[in-house]
Amino acid sequence: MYVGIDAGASATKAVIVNGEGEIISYAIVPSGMNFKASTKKVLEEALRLGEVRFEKMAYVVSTGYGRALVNSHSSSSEIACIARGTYRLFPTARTIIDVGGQDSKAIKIDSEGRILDFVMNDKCSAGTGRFLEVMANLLGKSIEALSNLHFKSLRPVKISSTCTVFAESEVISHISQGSSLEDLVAGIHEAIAERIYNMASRIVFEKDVVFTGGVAKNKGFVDTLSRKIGLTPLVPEEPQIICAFGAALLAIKKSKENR
Amino acid sequence: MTLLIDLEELCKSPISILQQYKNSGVKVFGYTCSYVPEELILSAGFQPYRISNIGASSSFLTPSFICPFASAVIENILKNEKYFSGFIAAHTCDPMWRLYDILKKKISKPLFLLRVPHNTQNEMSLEFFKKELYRLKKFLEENSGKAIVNQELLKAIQLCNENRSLLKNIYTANKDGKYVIDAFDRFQLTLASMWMPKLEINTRIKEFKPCTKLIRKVRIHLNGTAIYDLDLIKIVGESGGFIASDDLCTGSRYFWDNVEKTIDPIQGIAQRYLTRTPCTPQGPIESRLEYINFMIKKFKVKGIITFTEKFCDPLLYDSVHLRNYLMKDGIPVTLIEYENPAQELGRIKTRVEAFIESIGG
Amino acid sequence: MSQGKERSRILETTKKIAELIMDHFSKAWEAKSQNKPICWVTVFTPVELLYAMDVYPVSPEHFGAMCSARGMILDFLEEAERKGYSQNLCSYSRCGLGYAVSGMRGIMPPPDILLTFRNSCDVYVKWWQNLHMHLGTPLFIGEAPYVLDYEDLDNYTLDYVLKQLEQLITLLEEKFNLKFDMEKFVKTVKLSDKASQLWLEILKLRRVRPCPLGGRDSASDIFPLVVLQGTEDAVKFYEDLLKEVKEMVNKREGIIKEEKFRLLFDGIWLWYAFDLIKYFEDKKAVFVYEPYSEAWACKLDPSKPMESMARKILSMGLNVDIDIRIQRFLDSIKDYQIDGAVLFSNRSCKSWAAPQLVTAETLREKFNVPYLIFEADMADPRQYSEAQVKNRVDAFIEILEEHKCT
Repeated sequence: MYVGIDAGASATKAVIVNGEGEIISYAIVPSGMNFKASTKKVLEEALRLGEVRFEKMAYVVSTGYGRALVNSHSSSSEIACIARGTYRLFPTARTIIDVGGQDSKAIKIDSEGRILDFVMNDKCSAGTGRFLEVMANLLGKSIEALSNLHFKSLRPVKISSTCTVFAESEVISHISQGSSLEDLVAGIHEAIAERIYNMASRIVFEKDVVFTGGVAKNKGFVDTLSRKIGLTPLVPEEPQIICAFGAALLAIKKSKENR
Repeated sequence: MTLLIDLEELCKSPISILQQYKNSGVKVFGYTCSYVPEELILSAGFQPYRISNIGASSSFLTPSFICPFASAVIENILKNEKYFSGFIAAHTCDPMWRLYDILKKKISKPLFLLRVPHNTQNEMSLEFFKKELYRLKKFLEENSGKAIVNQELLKAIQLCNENRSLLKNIYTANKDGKYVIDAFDRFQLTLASMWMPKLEINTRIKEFKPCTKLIRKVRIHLNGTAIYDLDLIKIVGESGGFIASDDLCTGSRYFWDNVEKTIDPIQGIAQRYLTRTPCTPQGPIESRLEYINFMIKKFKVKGIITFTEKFCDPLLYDSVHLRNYLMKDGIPVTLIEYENPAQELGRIKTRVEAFIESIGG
Repeated sequence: MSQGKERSRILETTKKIAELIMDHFSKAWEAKSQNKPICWVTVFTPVELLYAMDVYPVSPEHFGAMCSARGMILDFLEEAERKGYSQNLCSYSRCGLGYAVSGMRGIMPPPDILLTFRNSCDVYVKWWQNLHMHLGTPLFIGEAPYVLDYEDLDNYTLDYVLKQLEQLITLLEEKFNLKFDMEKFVKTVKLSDKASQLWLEILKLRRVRPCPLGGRDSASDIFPLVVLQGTEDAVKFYEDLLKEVKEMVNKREGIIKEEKFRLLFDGIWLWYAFDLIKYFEDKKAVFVYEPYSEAWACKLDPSKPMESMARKILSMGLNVDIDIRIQRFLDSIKDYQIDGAVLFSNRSCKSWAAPQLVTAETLREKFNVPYLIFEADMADPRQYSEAQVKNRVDAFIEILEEHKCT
């Protein structure tokens, strides 16, 4: 068995694959303050779910923000892992947009899955999951609920602030002016999609476009961003684990090289 | 040829007139900067069109810390290349300089770079600039397919001089503290002069009837570089301020000086364009400070607002001295930076209101 | 910074740079004590002319780089910011202005004259103007129009610069009671040309596999051509360096132990973060070519000294057409067997950074060379996110590995 652990800023993910690269099991836990603790937990969880014994793990690759702190055989950058994981699931993928808890990335790959270019936003939370978290909190709703409300909107509210903190004040003033919840939600999705679209534009979108990362679970956001790009994206069943999946695939490769 | 033009619509979306030009078969030459002589473009048989940042946001081709204005100009050129016969860029400041570099790799239409000296008040620079204008003349001739004759040059000079004089009359009507013409109207007519056929805009200006009302507002001088976004002008009005004067290249410095009669018209054009009050990247800074001083005295200004794009190096370096210079006369100055004014109007208004209130609004 | 961490290996000759720098400043103070004029110059100005006229040049840009490398820059930056200079302005200028407004009690003697030619950026002119306004020191701003094609090195553009050189000479003669001596000038031009030739020869040897001189070396080794061109010291240094590099080549010794990736670096170095170079080297990547390093060399013709000088002012660095600049890049890919390009989007050098993406794209289109662009500042350590930059470097190295496999 081969393991990939993605120690992200918000959540830690583990994916276990067999020698053919088929996913046996996976788990997602909040990262919290302690990567060592969260990686231990997520690995235990993944092993338990897959009914895999600890000793069966042949090779572990870590990735993500906290990868240096994870007990693993080697580490790899998220860019490489996301590309690898996505290409495996979607060989027609050429543009990948990954929106995680605290950063967002756009990656261009070729027909062999090799990375041609990438852009990252890790300076500003306005184009990341954090933005949605802040807004969901403000509206007193869960992020899943945001997704459902989105499609009932008639006229999305315009949020012009580029900064999450200022955008929060803007939303508050819209609430006090009586904007409907649905319109607010659609407006919030519009705002985050705009940031990501601007960041990713340098890559030049080419189909197939794939959305990965935790935020891709939000159908409202997916809807908004795809309209901006003008292409229907492919979204994996569990977009949040693609990076860890890619790391697990790399674990297979690395373990072969080591022999 | 009559174009259907509503001034307010034109200023909101300057690109809109390009389709009309295309439909009427008018050949348009775009330029990026007030140092490019419109007269030369006109005499070659083209309609000059000054490219603004309105309707575009920063291009992803430039890094995040490059002047958003120049980046939006690049974007506008890339998006609307098909409406133009060619473009003239100018090396005044770095972003405008590198705009040429970037466009050279990205567009297929003819592109020219006019190299503007930094020192604008010496003989050597004037000589060089004159040679540059001859080089530009040749470029325009190559693109129009015919020679530019003195007759056409003189005609163009006369048209542009008339336009400038008309605009100056309107501007100076507000002197000595009078409120005669709203800043919004003045700017609209000035900006429209950069996009519309000269004959037509001159007629419009002559037909313009100022609205005279005596309103007690705080008299403001607007300082900055190139401002096309009329929402910024509106904000000052709505915050209790009246823009009595300015030193913008899309404002008073566009029309303040005329081309004088010279034996060689190119000499006259070179003199006017180079030696008028310089833009911020050009020097000497003393010329600009004198001009500002002249304006604030003539128009009885109470305070100065500097609107600037973020990352405007020349302005940021200058602003340190502007403040010191004006402090001596007790004139308060405030600097307001933005990246994309259309998205930051709320924030900008808050600051403008606060400033005007603080100086007795 | 690199305290306690292992550092890049550097050549023995490179270690002499520190002494050369100290020597340079001592000579400056000595000149001051002998009432010889001190001239603050922006780089790519006719320093050879100054040496010939017994005017001692000092470079505040170099001063900024040095302060940053030695961890001494923050105080000066803060001084400038307190004076009202925005943090978005070039960090060299903030350092120099901070130094100027706080008494100039450090290693760089105060100027008697300020000289700049506008051949790199707005900052040159604005910074020098601001120094003039703070200090009252006489100022000479020279024009150097953008070279659109090689014709400009022979036409009225060249004449414009030549006229200004005459003006400069007259100004120096009148202001400081000096006399321009053509013989002395020819001598400094010859020495400057020799130093350039030697440096170019050294740079050519980096084409060899394994590369005998890396990024950490070239960062320091440019110093003699920054402000000592025209002196014997510069020639001596490069003679020594060439000797050492030739020995390395003969022994087939590379500057790093195992060379897997040969990289191009486009930009000024991050003076406070040489450990970044080490980070690459630990991943078996060596920097073999930098347009920045090559930019300091300029062949001069001692039989036409004034014309050569004018051409030099016009054709240095960023002042030549983008296609000419890009061609230099393209030529290097084959010559130096380059696997990848790292481009530093320097917040302090907008003139350089603005067209960088377009340059990088050309690299990819023509040679399929992967590139990495990252943003930071060359001298202001507060504008550097180490973790984020290294994260991108990790991804880039993996891309290079994949590229090598296929």
